Amino acid sequence: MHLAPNRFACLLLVLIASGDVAFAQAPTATATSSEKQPLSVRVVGYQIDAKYDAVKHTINASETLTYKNLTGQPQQTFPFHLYLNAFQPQSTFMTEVHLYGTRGAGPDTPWDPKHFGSITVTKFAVDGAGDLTDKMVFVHPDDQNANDKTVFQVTLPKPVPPGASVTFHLDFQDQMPEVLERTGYKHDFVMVGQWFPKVGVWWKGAWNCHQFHATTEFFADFGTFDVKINLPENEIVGAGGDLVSTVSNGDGTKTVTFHSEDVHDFSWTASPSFTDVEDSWTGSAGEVKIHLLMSPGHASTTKRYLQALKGTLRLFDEWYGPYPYDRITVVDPPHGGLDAGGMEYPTLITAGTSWLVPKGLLLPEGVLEHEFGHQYWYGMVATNEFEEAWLDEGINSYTEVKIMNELYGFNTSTIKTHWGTMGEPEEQRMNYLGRPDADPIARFAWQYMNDSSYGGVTYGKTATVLLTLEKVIGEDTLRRAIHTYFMRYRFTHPTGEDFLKTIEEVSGQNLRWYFDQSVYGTQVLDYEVLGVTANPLNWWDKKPRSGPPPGGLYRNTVLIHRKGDFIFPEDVQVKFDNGETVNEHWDGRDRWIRYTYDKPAKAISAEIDPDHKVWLDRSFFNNSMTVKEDTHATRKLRDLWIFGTECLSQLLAWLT
Amino acid sequence: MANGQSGIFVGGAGLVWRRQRVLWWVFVVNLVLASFAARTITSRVAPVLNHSLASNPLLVYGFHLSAVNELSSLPSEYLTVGSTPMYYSVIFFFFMLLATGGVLEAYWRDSSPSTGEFFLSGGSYFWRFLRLVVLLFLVLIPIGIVAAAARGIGNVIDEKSISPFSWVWFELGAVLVLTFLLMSVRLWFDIAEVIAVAESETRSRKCLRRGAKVVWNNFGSLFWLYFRISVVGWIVLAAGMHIWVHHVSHGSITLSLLISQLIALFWLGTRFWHRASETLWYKNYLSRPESESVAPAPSPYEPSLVASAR
Repeated sequence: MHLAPNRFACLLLVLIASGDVAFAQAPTATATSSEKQPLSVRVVGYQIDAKYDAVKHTINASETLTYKNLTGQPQQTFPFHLYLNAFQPQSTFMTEVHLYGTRGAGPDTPWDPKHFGSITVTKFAVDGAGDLTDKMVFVHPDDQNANDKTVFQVTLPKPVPPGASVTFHLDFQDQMPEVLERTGYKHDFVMVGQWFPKVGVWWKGAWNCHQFHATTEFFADFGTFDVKINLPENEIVGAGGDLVSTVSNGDGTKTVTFHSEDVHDFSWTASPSFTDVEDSWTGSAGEVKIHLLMSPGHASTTKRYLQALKGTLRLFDEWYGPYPYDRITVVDPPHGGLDAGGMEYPTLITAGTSWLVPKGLLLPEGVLEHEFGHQYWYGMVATNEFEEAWLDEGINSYTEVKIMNELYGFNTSTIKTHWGTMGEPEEQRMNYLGRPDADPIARFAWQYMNDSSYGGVTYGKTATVLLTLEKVIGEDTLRRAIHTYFMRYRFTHPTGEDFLKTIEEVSGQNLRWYFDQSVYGTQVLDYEVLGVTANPLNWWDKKPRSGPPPGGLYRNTVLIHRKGDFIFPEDVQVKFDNGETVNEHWDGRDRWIRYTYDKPAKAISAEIDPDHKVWLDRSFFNNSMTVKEDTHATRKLRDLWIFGTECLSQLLAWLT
Repeated sequence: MANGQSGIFVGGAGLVWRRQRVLWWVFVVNLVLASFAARTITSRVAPVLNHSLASNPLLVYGFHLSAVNELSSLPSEYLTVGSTPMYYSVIFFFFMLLATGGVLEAYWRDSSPSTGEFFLSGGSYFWRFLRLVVLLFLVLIPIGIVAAAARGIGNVIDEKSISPFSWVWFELGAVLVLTFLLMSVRLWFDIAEVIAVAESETRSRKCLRRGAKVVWNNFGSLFWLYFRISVVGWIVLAAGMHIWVHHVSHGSITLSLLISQLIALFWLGTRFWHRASETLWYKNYLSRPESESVAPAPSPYEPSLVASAR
């Protein structure tokens, strides 16, 4: 049901005033969902009972974790992460933020105590082994930072045999930070992510439990979550799970219970200021309930969010595979809380807008599409973000390009205004051009040169590499390959090689030459037209004043140069003044190639990649050359510059 | 002589029209200096764009952001031209400091000066007006402090309020107040400059004091005059930008240039309209029996003017 925001706000006020309880989600019968065939291999089962203090922004909770040992060998040592401890000045995360920057804070960001966050485990017990709280040891698998407390491990008195389960009982206390990045509170809003001790993943024959980093934070096993949250009665709650029940405690608080399965994380949000907009969409896997939690002042974006979300759901369903969950919650962070925006958690995403976003600026749509895409690339295809961030962020950026183009137009999927335009492919390429050669795509996230290189390569370059791959294997083939990859690896932890091999398998081509350069290498692709000339064939004859040369033939030459170190086969199109067009194909291996044509016509232009599909090319401007000069674009820029300078001059002269 | 507020409003426009030569002069200087500022960018981008088919998007899709970004991100940094526009703007600033005296003389006498006369009177007032600019900067300091305080308060409101609109309304109010203050100060200094020309007053501080007294006693009528002309300027600017963006094809280079220059000309003309109207207003003011009559106006372009300024 989609109510006009103001009518809904009135309804909400009436509900709260009448002592009724406001919930973002209506309770759903979970019996049926529990009876369903599991979609994933459920390794973990979390039961969390939490109490949220909305004044102090603290959470006191107890957690019971049942871990099934499917590693095929006895396990005695278990790592857990405590990621809220990242929000402390001495942590690896804050050090990286200060040195290299991250999306919400640039390098040299000073420490502000209001961003302090922590998670403290006060009790750690194991069934059959008793209290092991004093056995907890902080470890630092990624660096030598002894002050980082985002990962701890415990060695049990005796190993857990293969196939057996072990149950951990933990009590913990969270202090949520004022939001700096991803999780925390702002005003009366709180986004609670990375808030409970979570066990690492046994992967490639070892425990994989990285510290919390400036750019990456996700990798976990699938399982079930049963979470009870006690919080003030006026809070409107959204969570990455089905609302099972709600109980008013009679003391001004309520307890909400959520259940989620076949996911690897659980997050929730609360604010008394949310406006809950409900809607639904039906796809090949059934109905999906949509909960849109809108913050004050953002009502004008509601329709835009819904339109983008439904379009994205439809195209993912058609192109890549079904969305199997029965819900999706979209959280719109409030004014000032945008650092919690643009995040993904299983079946819950955070978007981002402001009170004034012109319709032609498709930022809210782009953010929402991107975060929903993570339900596939991270949520279901649960790759290791720390080690291969490109598999979620990069593939997701590519599918973002495809979907935004389909929904909003090829050249207008990012900006669509009268004064200017930009499409998603160009946006991604723009990100890539910022740092084209600093890091290979396949690199651990925290080992990138800096945040700018991480963003440009992981998001922009990966999307651009896949867009360029369309030229090699075809757009439809790549779509089929991604569909196959999704269907084959959903609810698992595939690697980059799994993705690349799937593309090779579906396309029937050996693409190592391409992947070695674009994914594993830092080569830059840049081909240029060095020259286009037309000279009389009988050049020694006296040149006539006009008309064709003696013999009637010109020797036309086109010189193409491989300026970069990336080798890529290129098409070249040469046009002549008699309307004739010649298409060439070059394997691109040598440093240069010269094409020569003896014709009774003069070459007027040469263009590399005339279909404009090699998005990886460093410069589009040197991809073509016309014999005749066209000054229109230069004059346009010059005139804009003149006008700008005139305005600046007159502004300054206002002081005289 | 124009009578009444609306008479001065229209009369000022008429005066600018009658003495349009000075407006054209200044506009041409503005255009020429801006053209010099654009030479650097033209020389840098021309080799890239003039023979490339990839320059077409700049003409087809308006301000094609990715093409512009690519130009600026290429290793040669074609669009990096540093502070060239600012250098030429500073030159224009000093030119206007020199020209303002001539402009006001032309309006005060309602006659068209020769080029020599124009610059002669401009030169004679140059140092006085430069001193006034220095004094203007001093006056702007407290306004700057008010602006900084408003920003600080705005940030606190922004931080504390969950609704973005608290900040929006506060900022809007702050902008209106600051605009009012800036317009009032500009009005005061404009009148001081008119007094300097009308009464051949060489002492800048005396001009300012008299200007303050005149503006203080007649603030309503003077501000209304200044405000109305500014509003016309803003409306024409908005209309011009609308036409340029919505109704001119992205490939129409000449038409775009024409519209942009008409906007620049009108914007400059608005400032001249301020000057002409203020001059007319002051003439009107002096003709009132209750006004403080000062020294009689000197004869047109009297050489002693130059001497007295030294």
